[in-house]
This record gives sequence, C-alpha cells and structure tokens, in this order.
Amino acid sequence: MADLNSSLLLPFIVLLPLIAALSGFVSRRNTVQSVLNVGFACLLFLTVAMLTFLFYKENTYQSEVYEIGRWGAPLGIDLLVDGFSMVMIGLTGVLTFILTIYSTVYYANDAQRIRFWPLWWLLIAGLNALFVSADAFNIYVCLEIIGLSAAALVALQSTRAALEAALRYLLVGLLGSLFYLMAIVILYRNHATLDLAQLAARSSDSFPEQIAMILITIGLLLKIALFPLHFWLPPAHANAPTPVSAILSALVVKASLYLLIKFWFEVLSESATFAASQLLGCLGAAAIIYGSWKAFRATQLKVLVAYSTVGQLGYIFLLFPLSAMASNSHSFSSLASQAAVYFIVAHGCAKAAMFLSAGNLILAQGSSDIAQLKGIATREPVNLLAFAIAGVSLIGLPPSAGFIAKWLLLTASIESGQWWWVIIVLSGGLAAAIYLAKILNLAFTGKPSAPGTLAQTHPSKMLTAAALVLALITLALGLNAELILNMAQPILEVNSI
Amino acid sequence: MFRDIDLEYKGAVIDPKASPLISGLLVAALLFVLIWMLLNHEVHYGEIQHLVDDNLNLSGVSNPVTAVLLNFRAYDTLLELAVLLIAVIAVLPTHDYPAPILQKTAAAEKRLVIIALQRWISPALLLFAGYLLWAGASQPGGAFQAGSLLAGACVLLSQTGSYRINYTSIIARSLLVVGLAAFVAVALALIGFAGNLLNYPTNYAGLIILLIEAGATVSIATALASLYSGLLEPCFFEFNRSAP
Amino acid sequence: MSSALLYSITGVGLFAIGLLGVVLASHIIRKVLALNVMGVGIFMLLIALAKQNAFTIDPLPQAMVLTGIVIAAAGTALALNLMVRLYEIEKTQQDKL
Repeated sequence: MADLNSSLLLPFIVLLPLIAALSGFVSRRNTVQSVLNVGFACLLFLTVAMLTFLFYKENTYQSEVYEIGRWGAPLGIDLLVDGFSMVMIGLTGVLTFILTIYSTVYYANDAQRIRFWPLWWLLIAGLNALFVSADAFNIYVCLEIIGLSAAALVALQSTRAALEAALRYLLVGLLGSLFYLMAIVILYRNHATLDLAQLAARSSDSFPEQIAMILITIGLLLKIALFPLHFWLPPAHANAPTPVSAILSALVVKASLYLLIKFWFEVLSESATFAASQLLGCLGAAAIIYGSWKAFRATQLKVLVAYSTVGQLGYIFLLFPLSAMASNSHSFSSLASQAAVYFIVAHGCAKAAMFLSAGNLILAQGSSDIAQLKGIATREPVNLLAFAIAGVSLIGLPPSAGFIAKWLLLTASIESGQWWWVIIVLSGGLAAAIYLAKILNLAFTGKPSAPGTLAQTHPSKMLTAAALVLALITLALGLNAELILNMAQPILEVNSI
Repeated sequence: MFRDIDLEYKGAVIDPKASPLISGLLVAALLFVLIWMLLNHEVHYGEIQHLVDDNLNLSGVSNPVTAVLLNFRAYDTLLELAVLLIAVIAVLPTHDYPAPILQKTAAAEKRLVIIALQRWISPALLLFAGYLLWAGASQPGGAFQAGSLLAGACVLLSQTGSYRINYTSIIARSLLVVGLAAFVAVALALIGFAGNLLNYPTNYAGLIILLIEAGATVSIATALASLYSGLLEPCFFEFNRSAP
Repeated sequence: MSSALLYSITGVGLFAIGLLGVVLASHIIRKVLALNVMGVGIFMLLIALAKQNAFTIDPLPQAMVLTGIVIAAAGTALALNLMVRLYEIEKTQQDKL
C-alpha cells in the first residue's frame, strides 16, 4: 500500500456523510437509524482526526493536490487543504460529532426525524466538500448544497414563523450564490480556468477582477449576514430546531466567511484595496454594536443568541483592515489572520454550546420567553452553567477561548497602529457582558414561576451533557491556548511563503 | 427585501417600501460596469478546449459536453444530484404511506383529450427518453434531458387522476437515490481499484458512464415528478392517507 | 459587434433586470421568478462564452450551464414548496377565524 498521506483521506470526509444521508433516506427505520447515525458520526470523527493528525505530521503549508479522476486542473477538479481549511474541517468534525449525538436524543421520538437526518448529513457533506474543494465552480455547487439543506432544516418545524424564516433564508442564499456564480463566470471569461490556485497565479489587479471581487464580496456578505444584510439571520437561527440553530451559527455562516477570506487573501488578493478593507471593518464594527443592542432588547432567548451571532461575526471582519495595515500587501499570515482563525474556532464552539444550552433551558421551561427564565438556576444548574461558560467566552473573559481570540485582535490592532478598533473590541465585550448578565441575573435571583402554568420538563441527561461538553471544550481551548496557538502557528507562518 | 412575506398580497407590483430610484441607479451602474467589461475585455481562450479534445478518446464518450459532465468534472455532477435530492427530501411528506408505488384509481373525470394524450404520447416519451440517454454519448442529450422527458411523462400520467404515484414507498425512495447511490458506489469502488476517486479505467469508461447516466436519469425523472406533485397536490398527504 | 458579444450583453442585461426584480417586486413569487431570470442571464453569458468561433465550442461552460439548471430547478422547487406550505397554514388560520 502506498504511503498514507493526508490528501488521500479528503474524498472520504465528503463521501461518508453522503452515504449516511442515502442510507438514512432509504431505510428510515427508527431503531436502525439512531445506531447508524451514531456509527457514521464516530467514523467521520475518526477520519477527520486521522486527517488532522496526518496533516500536522506532514507540517506543510498545504496538503498534496488530490486530482479527481487523475485529470488535474484545469480540466478536472482538484481537492486540496491548507492550514485554514484544516482548522475548519477539524472544527466541523468535532461539532458534527457532538451535535449528531445531541440530535439522536433530540429527535428520538419525533416524526420530523425522517426529514431531518438525510438533510443533516447532506449539510455536513456540503460543508466538508466546500472546505476541501479547490475549484471555483465546484464551490458554487457546495454553496448551493449548504444553502438548500440549511433552509430545508430551518423549515423543519413547519410553523408559520419557521417557514417564513426558511423562505427568506433560501432566497437570500440563492441570490448570494448567483452573485458568486456571476463572478466565477467573469473570472472564467478572463482566465479560462476554474482552479483557485491557477486563478490566483493568473489574476492581476485588472478591471474584470475588481468586478468579480465586488460581486463575490456582495454575494458572500449576504450569506454571512454582515450588518446591513443581516435581516434574515435572527429569524432563521431562532426558529430552527436547536441542533440546527447550533450548526447554522457555528459553521454555516463561517463557511461563507471562509470562502470570503480565501478570495480576499489568496485568490484575488491583488484586487483588494485599502478603502474596501476599511469599509468591511466599519461594517463589522457597526455589526458589533447593532447586534449587541438588539440582543439586549430581545425578549426571546434564541433571538438573543442569534443577534449575538450578528454581533460576534463583526469581530471577524476586523481582520480585513487589521491585516491590510500590518503588512502592506494583503497576505494571510499576519497576527490579525491568526486572531480571525482563532476567533472562528472560539465562536463556533461557544455559540454551539450556547444554542444547545439555550435549547435545553427552553425545553425545561416550556417557553422561549426570557421573562420565564426566572429562577431557572435552581432547576437546571448544569444547563445554566454551560450557558454561562459559553457566555464568558463570548464576552472574552479569561480563561476562555474568546479571551485569547480578543487578546490577539487587540494586539493586532495596537501593533498596526489602529487604536480605534481597540475601543470597538472592548466596548463590544462590555455590551455582551450586559446582555448576558441580564439572563444570568434573572436566572439566579428571580422567584421560580409557579409550576403547572407551563409545560415544564426535564431535558434528558444526554442533551445537557452535550451542551456541557461543548462549553468545556471552549474553556479547554482557552486554558490550553499555547498548545492551540502552537498548533495553529506553523500553518499560518508557513502560509506566507 | 424579503421582509414581508404575504402570499395574499394584491397591492402594487413594485414594493412600496423599496425605492425604485436608488435601486434602479445602483443596478444601472452595475449593468454599465458589466457591459463596459464585456466590451473592453476579450474572452480569454485557454488550453481547456485542447485538453478536452486531447483526452476525449480516453473519456469513453465522444460528446465533449457529456465527457466534461460525467468524466472530467463528474464530481460536480455527483454533488448536483445531491442538491436535487435535498429538494426532494424537503418536499416529501414525513410519514410513509403503505400504498404501492403506482395505484390505478377510478378516474375522477373522463377528459378524452388528456386520456388520448396519455395513451399516445406516454410510450413515445419513454422511447424518446431512452434514445436521448443513449445518444448522449455522442450527440447533445444525456441524463438530464432524458430525465426531464420521463418526468414529463409522469406528470402527464397524473393529469387525469386515474393513476396515483406514492413517492414515499420504498421503491420510489430507492429510485430517487439510485443515481447518487450509483455514483457514490462507483467512486468508492474506484478508490479501491484505481486508487483515485472517479478515475474510470479507459476500457470501461463508456460502460460506467452509461450506468451512472441511467441511474441519474431515473433519479432525476422521479425527483422532478415528485417535486411537481408535491407542489400541485398539497392535499397529496391526505388522499394517500385515505387510500387503503 | 459579434453575435457572441450581443448574447453576452443580453445575458448581463437579464441579470440586471432580474436583480431589479428581486429588489423591487413586492410579491414573493415575483422575487423567485426574478431570481430565475438572473440565473438565465448568467447561463446565457456562459453559452455565449462557449462559442469561440464558428467551428470550435468550449464544452466546459455548457456543462456548467447544465449543472446550473438542475440546481436552479431544485432551488426554485424548494422555494415554491415552502410557499405552498406557508399558504396552507395561512388558509387554515383564516378558516378558523
């Protein structure tokens, strides 16, 4: 057998979830299905773990190119991972594993599971396919897999609000992908290739590339829900079933963000301008303030968490102005990019933990009203603990992953001499502290509402455990910051070569 | 944009909340920029076309578009079938009905034209779909075209209400996934034998492509037909439930 | 002006008309139709791109169009299905009132 290198495993992380989706769709048997799903989750997790291990052992900037059908770009499609995509695949692997186990319990006795499982696995196949792909048109297909399956998952509950949110989400997603497709057509027209590496080599700072860059940025900003384009996100994330909300906030918006970063810093880096990066930074800052304000005003628990996502996404956009100043050319090697990658991981884990614990609290209380959370601390201490830990990370207090991420952002802004972003980052943390303190204050001090008025239940132990594990991962990421940073560093350092 | 979703809306065609002037100016600017680019930047012809010509005899088919779709960029087509499957899963009801896949019921109404059309055109559609599938190897045609024709035949079949197709039956579900399943199975088998995803052995490439295309045709036809009936018959669930 | 260029400009024009429709139309079905018009515009640009001269055709854009059509059909079907389900809910709510 040939030497095992990381690229050989790349097709499997796409095929495995596809097989899981197919078998789930055909078999539909409840008893078999939960065993199958857990089995596939374990298998996928092991594959991702092995892939990550091999990739770190190779210690290179990117994996070998996997040429599908041995045609090779530009004729065929290539698969390829670099440090950044590897981090995203790792994050997807860990979250998929925990969320799948959560969902097996969450959907144990629900008729919707017939629809949920195939869509869930197709969504994960789409995410993995996006992260491994090195072909612009293939990425368009992946974006559509993600967009369609995510919208269908939001619609699962079939309430009026969920259907409206899903419809809006679907149409915004389709519009965003069409912008992206238009840009790809323009790039193909001028460079006669769809391969990202070849596009990067052939592109210069010419007119068509600038147009393509603008179209890609508009399209992906729609999908990421950066501040003025965020209108679809809170209803979609708040009305989805709990595991779906978690994966939407933790991974799906990040997939578009990953693509945007890839185009800005690798593929079309020549056309990125200073003014545009400052504009993105300003929009990010506005998102932090606006998202925190709306989160503070929210009356529903999941809406609060969803608006907090709008705000937190703003931080990652500070990457654009910060790395533009740090090094005159746009490259994905600065401290700012390290901060952004770490922020994506930290926010992914923390937000997934927060959505799971929020979902559990809603299950326990039988109502999603924040006002009904009075005195929940005595009834659901563990879920509230998970919620609080995730909150600590979102605020950016030590010891948590969020703290490290914000510390890196602050260092990057001071080093690049852009002190005004420091104010934004700090005040954003303060705002997050205020709206989360509102919840915790209510949970600890209020008198519990009289039992019997609401359909109160105890969420199963597995549901609570999943939320707690995710929260502890957030904490562990912060405590072992040096380990994680060292692991992340070689990738990002070698990136600049 | 997309803020209010009111299906019963009967007001003005143009959203009163959107500003036609601002959006018109922005879109006009985009249009101007795009046309400017088209006029000033010639199409760049790369080597892809030559690569396709050079490798066509290795691909197993002689129609270059089919070669790109099912050999050079087969991975795209695999994922495309997954996209279609997502729409089907989202549309199919969440309960399985124990009815067989095709039921003949007492015709609700006797519309002579439709019935005649069914009798005369359905077999022709079937034949022509088979021809399109076969011809795709050397001429324009192929899985999607054949699948759409077959789906059309299914739609025609459901027009009089004398046939009902139960898309939740196990056979229908298997038909819906057979295209993607064949693709994935071929991909896995090729990883085992050739050591690479979708690297067809040259001698068998034509056969494998035909196999995958046949599966894809069936899946696309069933998928499109089920999407159609899911849209037109929201009461689809009810009469399936009342069926014995 | 070559015919390919004419088709390209028409394609871009359709994209712009569709975009305007998505932004301005008030009914959701019109928005979905407008999204499809945008898609058709892109496909037309691709087809025009494929024809290089009278004799040679680049098959890659054509394959992209075929893939794109299936995806557009799936997206439209899902959107229409969500609308139908929404409409059913609205109708039952109105019947109750």
